[in-house]
Amino acid sequence: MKTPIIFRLSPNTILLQWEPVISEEVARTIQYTERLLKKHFPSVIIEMTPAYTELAVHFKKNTDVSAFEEKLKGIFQKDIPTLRETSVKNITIPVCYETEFASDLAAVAKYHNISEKQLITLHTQPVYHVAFIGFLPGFPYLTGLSDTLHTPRKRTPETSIAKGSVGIGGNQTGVYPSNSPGGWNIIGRTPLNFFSVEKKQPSLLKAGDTVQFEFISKTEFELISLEVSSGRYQLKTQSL
Amino acid sequence: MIRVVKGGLYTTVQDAGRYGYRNMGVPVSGAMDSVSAAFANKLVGNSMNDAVLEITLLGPTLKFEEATRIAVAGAPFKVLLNAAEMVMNTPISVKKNDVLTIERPTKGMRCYMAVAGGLQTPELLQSRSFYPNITETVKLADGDVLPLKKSTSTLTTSPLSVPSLNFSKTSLQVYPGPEFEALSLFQQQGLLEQMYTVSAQSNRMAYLLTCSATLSAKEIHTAPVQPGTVQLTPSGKIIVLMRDAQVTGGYARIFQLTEQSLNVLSQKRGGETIKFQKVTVSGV
Repeated sequence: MKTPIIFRLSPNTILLQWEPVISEEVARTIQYTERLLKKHFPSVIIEMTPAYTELAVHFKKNTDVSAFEEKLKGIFQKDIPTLRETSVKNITIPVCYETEFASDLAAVAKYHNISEKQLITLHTQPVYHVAFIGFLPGFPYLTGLSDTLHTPRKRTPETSIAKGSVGIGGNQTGVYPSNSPGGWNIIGRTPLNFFSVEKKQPSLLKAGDTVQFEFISKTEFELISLEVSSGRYQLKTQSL
Repeated sequence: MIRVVKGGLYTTVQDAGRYGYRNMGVPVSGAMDSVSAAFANKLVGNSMNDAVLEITLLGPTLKFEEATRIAVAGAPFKVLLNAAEMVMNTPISVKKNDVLTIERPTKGMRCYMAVAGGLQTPELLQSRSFYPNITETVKLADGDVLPLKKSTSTLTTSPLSVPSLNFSKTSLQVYPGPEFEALSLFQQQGLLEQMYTVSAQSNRMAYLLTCSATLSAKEIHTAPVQPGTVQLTPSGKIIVLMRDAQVTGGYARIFQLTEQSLNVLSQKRGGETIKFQKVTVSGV
């Protein structure tokens, strides 16, 4: 496993920093490191914040962080048997790409000189990898967007993007879990809730999961919306 | 329980923060000035994790529907219990039907009202701190009610010394952030010599600072940030992330405020000036 640099951000926080190149491999290394630290140091760590190429480790007050850093170096030097994450899943996200929910679909298709149908095919084909959850509660950072669909963010962000909106921003695609301002190009909407505070696992997705978008019609969108709000919707998932 | 007669400008329930959910994108939240909130709690015999009211610039009017003990601490506000001026930084007994009016501060931004036993608004993801899409409300509105715990302890605390929050302090201590070293020496020096003005747009998520120098830093791959992280944008904006900040961000992290400096900054108003003083994490 690649060894990260340790950066001391504050008395109770360190950053583990890998080479700043986004890849599925470094995302997996970070997820693996998170599990490893959880297992080895449950009594001193409050929580961890993963991102593309860094993992922040937040310690309880009065932890001897320097001593921890030494132990950590020792652990990274050893050849560690793989800790398998058993709870990661592949999750199907139904998306309606109809104009009503996709204010920028036509413009994005035009920008790439492809048809809207081709755009939808390119967006629904890949298996995306959830690198981490950040920005807003439940907001997934996904890797795996087709190179053909990389689209610059809008110059002026929209003041309000509807909950469930599926967007493309630069080389990223993702879903807005709540109404919020944002600068991504909106190409569709999902009826699923990405963050539900009343659930034991509030975030629909977690780092390490994979995601596929599935084309649905407006009628299906409305049907699924009803099922979601009445708690009857059966999420399509597969264990990985 | 307490009935909110008037909500005030921006009054929220806050405790010591919501920990354990940052990997789901959930901010830490909690009292902006953690020292003053903890002191208010201490005065009424609470634990520092108990929920208090955070009052911003123009306070609420509250009616007590039961007898309890309260304390107000933090920035010096004008506080009235019924018609009489009430002293801050001291536990006070209130009777049923007493009305507390918190007006404006003579300096600073925020004060905290603690109630014996702590406010009992719903706990969500292990915290009572208000945050959009987590708690039902984001700030107090006229007519809201705040449930209380039956006050059991009758102890009168011996006088406690008021924590020194120097409101006129302009120098904020910072640790160098991960992207500080990559800046040119000229920029590094400039950042530490500049005076910055707090923008009026500042809020619980972030404080915006403006200065006369031309500064800039490249964007980074979205990386972890936390309350107190100071970001520099490509267009030269300085953003100091506060308690409700997002958990990750894509701007260069040039500094990290010490906890004490984060508290000092949270009491600064739009138009006030500050500067940064670089320190190292002790023991490193």
